[in-house]
Amino acid sequence: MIMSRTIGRRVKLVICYTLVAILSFTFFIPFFWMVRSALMDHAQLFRYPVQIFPNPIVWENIPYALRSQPFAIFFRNTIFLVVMNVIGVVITASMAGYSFSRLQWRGKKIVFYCLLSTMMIPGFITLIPTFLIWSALGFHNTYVPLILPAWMGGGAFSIFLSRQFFMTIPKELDEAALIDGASHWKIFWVILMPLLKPVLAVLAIFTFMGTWNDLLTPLIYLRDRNLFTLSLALASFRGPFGGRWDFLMAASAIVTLPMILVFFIFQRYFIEGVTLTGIKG
Amino acid sequence: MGAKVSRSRKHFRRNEIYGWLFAGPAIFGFLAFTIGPMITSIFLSMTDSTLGFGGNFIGLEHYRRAFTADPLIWISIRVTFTFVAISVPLTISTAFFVALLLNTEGLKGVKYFRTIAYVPSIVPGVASAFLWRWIFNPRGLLNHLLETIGIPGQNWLFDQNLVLPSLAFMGIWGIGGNMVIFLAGLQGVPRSLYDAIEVDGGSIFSKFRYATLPMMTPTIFFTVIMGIIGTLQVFMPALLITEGGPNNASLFYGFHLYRTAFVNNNMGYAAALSWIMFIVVLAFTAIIFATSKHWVYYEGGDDR
Amino acid sequence: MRKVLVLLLAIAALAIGLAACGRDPAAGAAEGAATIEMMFWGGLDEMNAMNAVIDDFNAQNEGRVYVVSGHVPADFVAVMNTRLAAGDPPDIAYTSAGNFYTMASEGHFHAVDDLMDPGFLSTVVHDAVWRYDGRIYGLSTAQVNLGVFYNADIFNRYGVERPPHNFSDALSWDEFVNLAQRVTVDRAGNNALSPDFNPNQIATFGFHPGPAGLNNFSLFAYSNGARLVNAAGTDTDFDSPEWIDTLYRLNRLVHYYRVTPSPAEVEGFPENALMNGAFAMTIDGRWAMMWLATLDFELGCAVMPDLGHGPFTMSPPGVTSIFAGTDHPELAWEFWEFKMDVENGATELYAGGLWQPIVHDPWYTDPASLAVWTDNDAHPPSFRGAFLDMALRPSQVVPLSSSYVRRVGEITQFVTPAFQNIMGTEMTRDEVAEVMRELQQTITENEAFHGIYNSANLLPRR
Repeated sequence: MIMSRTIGRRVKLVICYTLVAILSFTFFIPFFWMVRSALMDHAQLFRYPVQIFPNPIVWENIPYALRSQPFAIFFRNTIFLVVMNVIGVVITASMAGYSFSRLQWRGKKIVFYCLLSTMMIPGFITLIPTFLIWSALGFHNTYVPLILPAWMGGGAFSIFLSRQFFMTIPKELDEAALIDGASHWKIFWVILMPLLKPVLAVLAIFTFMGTWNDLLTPLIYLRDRNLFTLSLALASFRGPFGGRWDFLMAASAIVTLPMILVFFIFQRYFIEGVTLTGIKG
Repeated sequence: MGAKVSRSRKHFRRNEIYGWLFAGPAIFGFLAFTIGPMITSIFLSMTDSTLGFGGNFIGLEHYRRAFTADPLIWISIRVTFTFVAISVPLTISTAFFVALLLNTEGLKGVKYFRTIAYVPSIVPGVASAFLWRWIFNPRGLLNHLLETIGIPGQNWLFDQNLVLPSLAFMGIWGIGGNMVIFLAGLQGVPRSLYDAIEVDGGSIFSKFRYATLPMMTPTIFFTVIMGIIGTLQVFMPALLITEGGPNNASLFYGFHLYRTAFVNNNMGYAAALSWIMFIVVLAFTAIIFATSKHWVYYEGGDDR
Repeated sequence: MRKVLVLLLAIAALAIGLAACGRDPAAGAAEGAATIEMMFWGGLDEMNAMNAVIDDFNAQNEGRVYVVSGHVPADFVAVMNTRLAAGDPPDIAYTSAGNFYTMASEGHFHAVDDLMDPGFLSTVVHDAVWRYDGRIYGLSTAQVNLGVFYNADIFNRYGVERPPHNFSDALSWDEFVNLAQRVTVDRAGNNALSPDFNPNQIATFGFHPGPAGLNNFSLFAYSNGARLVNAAGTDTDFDSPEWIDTLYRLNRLVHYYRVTPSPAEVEGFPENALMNGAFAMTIDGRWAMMWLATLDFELGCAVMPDLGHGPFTMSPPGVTSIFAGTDHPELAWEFWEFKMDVENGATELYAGGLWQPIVHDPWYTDPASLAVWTDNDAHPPSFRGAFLDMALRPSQVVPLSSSYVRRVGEITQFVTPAFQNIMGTEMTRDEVAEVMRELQQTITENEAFHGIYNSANLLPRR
């Protein structure tokens, strides 16, 4: 009896590992293609039939690409923006999610649906009027338009996500704390936030990813080259008449690395699991 | 139920204040950066503006033209809806099953696999567009691989019938985001449920059907809504890779809009197009929200 | 955990304060210098070259004028639109040809006729001057003529004579097709004239006319006597016999003679197709020489075939203009003259193969000046005849559609799919006629034709 269960488990694991291996291989392809393209010159890049591995490996692409523009400055700028945005979104989106899921107040539903509807607004409709507002306030060519939205809930996406997750946490926790006389603020910070680690990690990762690769917002607001971000630098490799594809790929490969690192680190919050299960058990 | 008895009016008012307080930043952002611009764009859609503002008022002329004299709108609506119908189920179910797979107990080294699955989503957009263009190129990697195993190569992005499926297929590599969300959600499914089913002698399928799936419905709901809303507005692949072709087979509504605004310099008409899109998206979302009562299960939620 | 968060919040608040200060882009200017901003697009090479020109100018004019470099990495038109809408235009900037007239008619530009030296205008290539309502509001940033490029190695390999680079030697249509057939080769080595030729296994196509679209195909159409706009100036002319005949001939190149790949096949060609021998001849713009020069094959330039009215060329450039809101129009013009001079800073862009100067006297005609930018590996000798000589023949230059047709983008969004359709499907002459008539009807019915700006830019009819 026990033997067959163990074998059953083994078989299941083998199947899983095989599937995972196939998936990993498939998912790795774009990244591999980017790195491989980064290490080739133009002639190799477009050879037909397709040349899969670079030969010779053009390592020089990487230093040339990174030196062709002041990447150190761009890197510093982008990190700054990312940190500011992640903190902003994590705090304000979860605050909003708490309000929409836990607290009773008049107009809550209407406000929530209105907020949700903002996701459906095509971006370029608000693009120019928003730019006008920031210009009038004198904040064009600064980082304020790039950071402040993150501190205003971080967008309907983050608020929606946070609310959904709040709703999976049973209310008994709140109510127990309320009986003990805790304030809303305390319930939010001390009791619920730690339980939200998975969704906070998700918000952090998405915000990181969104800010790191965001092209349109810095493009419109930033004029001073010293304020430029990495995404603008990458876009510069591409001209209206063809471009330096080898440098573009080399620089892109380097730019991707920090994000991979961050994801790798943050994902342990998923593994750690949610305290919730302990309570329910 | 001592909790209910102790609720006083004071507590109720406190709830109200805190409700607004906590949601405050979000509401402020909404008013300042959404409502204002939206109202401006309504006016814009009723002028004949070309660049920026400053056109003459022409009432609902743009809307009339959109519905009667613009064949490209209907093509783009058909293209976009078809794409949503292919792409959203495909990408969400793939993300879900990959997340399930990576959540299997006893699987070692999951960290690495999860990272690999996520990596395509973080390749910078510009680079990504060209990578896919090269890979799907009839003389590129995909056909090369297919031909080595004996399947004839196709024209993929340059074949009218294959361009939308090709783009949807490309979208699978972008599931990293949804996968991450599903993984977080799966972590929230209490083990006790699985244990209970196991004790009753249930199989993997029962666990899935009676524990995992119901508990994941809020998350699925979220990803489906976001997926539909996002996909209805998609235009980057058209802009960077196919330019709406071949022969308008990938003329996404969002791309038609972008082109009208920034290439054809017809801001007024573009504003009208965006409002039409907004209404459509609103309708879809309302429908899904309305049906959600029947299939979404909330454990900690109060009202809806 | 709380303390950490409070600390982070404090840092955040501080940082927001700092960030809000921003930085004045003109910080590099010396005291008392007038600042002007130049907004431009361009990939890596163009960006670096233009920045070098700007730095040179600033070094030579320190204390008097300072030019701020406003390079836009992407979506130039979107960024420009937002700037204009906010009432904050640059002093001098590139404009895309398609936007020029809209912007000129809305008064965004400052006229430059008065700023120029007298006599300057006569040294400029005729279609590089952009007028509106009688005044000059822009000049092409550079001349970028279209012509035929070919891979000379392929011609050598098959013992075929090269296409001509002189206007007077231009091939007739039939001669051209025959030439293309002799360099269209299947995988077994048979050319298109051979009885063993296998049209499904073509390794090298003889001729690729570029992406199916209005600009490239107009080169053939105009040589065939067709015109974009009808004689009355009231609509496009796509259902004319000349247009139908042109498209039919092009369709035959693909499906009958098999010297040209269909759109699906050609999209499969990577950027270096000419080097790889995917096709032997192609139409492209002068700018392509910048990277063609880096490749490992012998490049040749040739004139277009003559369909009856001589070979044609056109130049689809970006335009440079001075903006109306500027405080320093004379200084902006000074900088403009500086950047137009081939021997300043941007020499690599001319010598490297990206741009042609718009000033033909002396840069096209004086041998010494010509040598400064064409005497290098990027420019084969055939370049002068095929590109420069053609640029100076006004009767053989197709006027750029966006230089006189309003909102030409709305027309092209119907034209491109129709042309792609014709090139992609084997059709009889009647079927081609059917498609063209439908195209014309769509344009008329959808009010896609919004009139023309400058009838002076139209070529006379034959």
